[in-house]
Amino acid sequence: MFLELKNTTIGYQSSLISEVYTSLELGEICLMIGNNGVGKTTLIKSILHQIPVLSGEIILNGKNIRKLSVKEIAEQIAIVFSKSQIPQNYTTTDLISLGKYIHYPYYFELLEQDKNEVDSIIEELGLRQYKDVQLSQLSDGNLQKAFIGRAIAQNSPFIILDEPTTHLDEENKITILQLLRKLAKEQNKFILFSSHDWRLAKEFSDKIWYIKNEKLHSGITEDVLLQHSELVQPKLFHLDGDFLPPNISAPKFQTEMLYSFLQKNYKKNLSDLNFEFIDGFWMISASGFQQKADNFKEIASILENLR
Amino acid sequence: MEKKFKIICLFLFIGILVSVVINLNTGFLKLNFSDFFSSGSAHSEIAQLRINRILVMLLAGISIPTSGFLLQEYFQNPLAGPSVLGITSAASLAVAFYIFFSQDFLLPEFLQNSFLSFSAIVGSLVLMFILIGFSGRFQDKSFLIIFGFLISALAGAVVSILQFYADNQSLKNYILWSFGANNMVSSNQIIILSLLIFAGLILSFKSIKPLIGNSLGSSYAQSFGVNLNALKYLIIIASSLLSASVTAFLGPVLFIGIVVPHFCRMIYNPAKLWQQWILNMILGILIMETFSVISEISQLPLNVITSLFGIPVILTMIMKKR
Repeated sequence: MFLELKNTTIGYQSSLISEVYTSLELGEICLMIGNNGVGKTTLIKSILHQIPVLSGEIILNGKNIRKLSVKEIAEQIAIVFSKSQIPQNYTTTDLISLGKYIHYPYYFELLEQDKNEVDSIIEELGLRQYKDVQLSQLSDGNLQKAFIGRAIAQNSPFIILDEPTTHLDEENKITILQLLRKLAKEQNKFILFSSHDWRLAKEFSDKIWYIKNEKLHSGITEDVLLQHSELVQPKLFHLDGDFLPPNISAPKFQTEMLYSFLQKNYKKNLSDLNFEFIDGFWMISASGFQQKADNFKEIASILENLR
Repeated sequence: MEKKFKIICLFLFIGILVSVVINLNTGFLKLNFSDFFSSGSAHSEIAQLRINRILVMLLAGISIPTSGFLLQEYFQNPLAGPSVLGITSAASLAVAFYIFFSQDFLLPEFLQNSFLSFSAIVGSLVLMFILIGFSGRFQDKSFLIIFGFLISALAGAVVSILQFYADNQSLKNYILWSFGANNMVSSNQIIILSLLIFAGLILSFKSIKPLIGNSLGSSYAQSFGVNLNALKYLIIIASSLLSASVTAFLGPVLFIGIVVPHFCRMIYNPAKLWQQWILNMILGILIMETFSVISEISQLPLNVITSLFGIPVILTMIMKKR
């Protein structure tokens, strides 16, 4: 087990999340969800040992984090905070190079091999044309990528990201989430990220930490979703026999894109519609009775434009 | 990038050499080569004065920009400078107290000057310890700026009261000190000054890496293993030592502490703090030596020269950049 929480209670003066038992392995990507203020960021800071745990212990790679120095923790964990100050004068390269900070006694000049590594990270993130652009001029998506790049450059096996997809549009959200998944799978990193946009993010995660009522429920994504019905989009209807659903082939993770697209373009209440992706097609149906075919036609014409 | 840095340094070094040579040749008398090397020659004392002048400018050129640079990077505020912590004001206050209350003592002249510098250093160090004592209780670093601002205002008020009741001679002495004196520093004083600055520079050396780690804010800094408390004390002590010692011997000539770091960021990648620090020091030396020459030729006080020449230059630089 790479990260283990044993009977851990975290919080500031009073406890926010109590008696957590959970563990995670390298190569896993874990999504942390919960409403605002349930203690997601506090839990992250506790794992980083920036806040002491109230009771119990956090074990990182076999060692209690209390016994690790700040530097030893930094060698194990790289972090992307949700908000930080953005140094005005830094370019993308400067920021990503900062990932190497902990590996240098003075950080005067990067070694050639590290420079190359930084370059290849920039390449991989698709930031080459923004290499020498100042951070203040980057778009939100590219800025987020650059901060993630910094965490990658740190070369720690464990990357924690606090709300990495906030303020991003659907397309950038998906790019970032794909990137995280790729990191976990290809470089055998262990990734923990929080998001309140869990509908989309869950499609990318192996495990979920769900924080509710001061408890952390953890498990394989599908299990957690099954156990907590509020996490699954309410099934308000079944397939209507009369209805011919419009056919749109889209990858599974675009459920949310589709949903938000409809929210924008279809003015009526969507909550009593159901979307299902079956055999490469979207099935849309209503809870039956009153919702009639013209509603569906309207949706169908909106969806036609998506194709 | 590395190459660019080396070229900039090379140019600045040449500039320093030129300005030093000009500075050595500026003054009321024309000096020969031999005056600088043989102690027996006619003008060797004047030569010694000029060498001292150059050394003092060199020390000031290293220390004031370093102090300003550290504070600007720490507060991440381009307006921060050696004066923000109230060091200059505390030094001025101590000097004012000394000048206005020492008029009744009869001191030999060589001692007078030393006591003046001594009181300035004591004043700054007292303030430094007060700052350290208070800053432990406050987590927010902007508190330091507010504190420095309040101290400056308070010190200014007290100095005004002292001036109001002072006799003519004391008032004149104080104003002369506040102009920034350029050529009254003796060899012994230079040794003291360089020791103080050396201590300040060692602390600066230790604070550069944590400052880089601090550039993304305190949460990131902690995750990189930066000890934020230690950094705070390092910055306070280093910048106080550097600015207080120069203020004590040269008067309040701290304006270049704000300008030079800004200038350096324009000519080289501002994210590389080590290179920036080196640039600050050599550019500082160049500027101080040049200003010293101008001050010598024009017979105007150094403090006036730094502002008179520094501000237009920096303004045009900013305009061009936009």
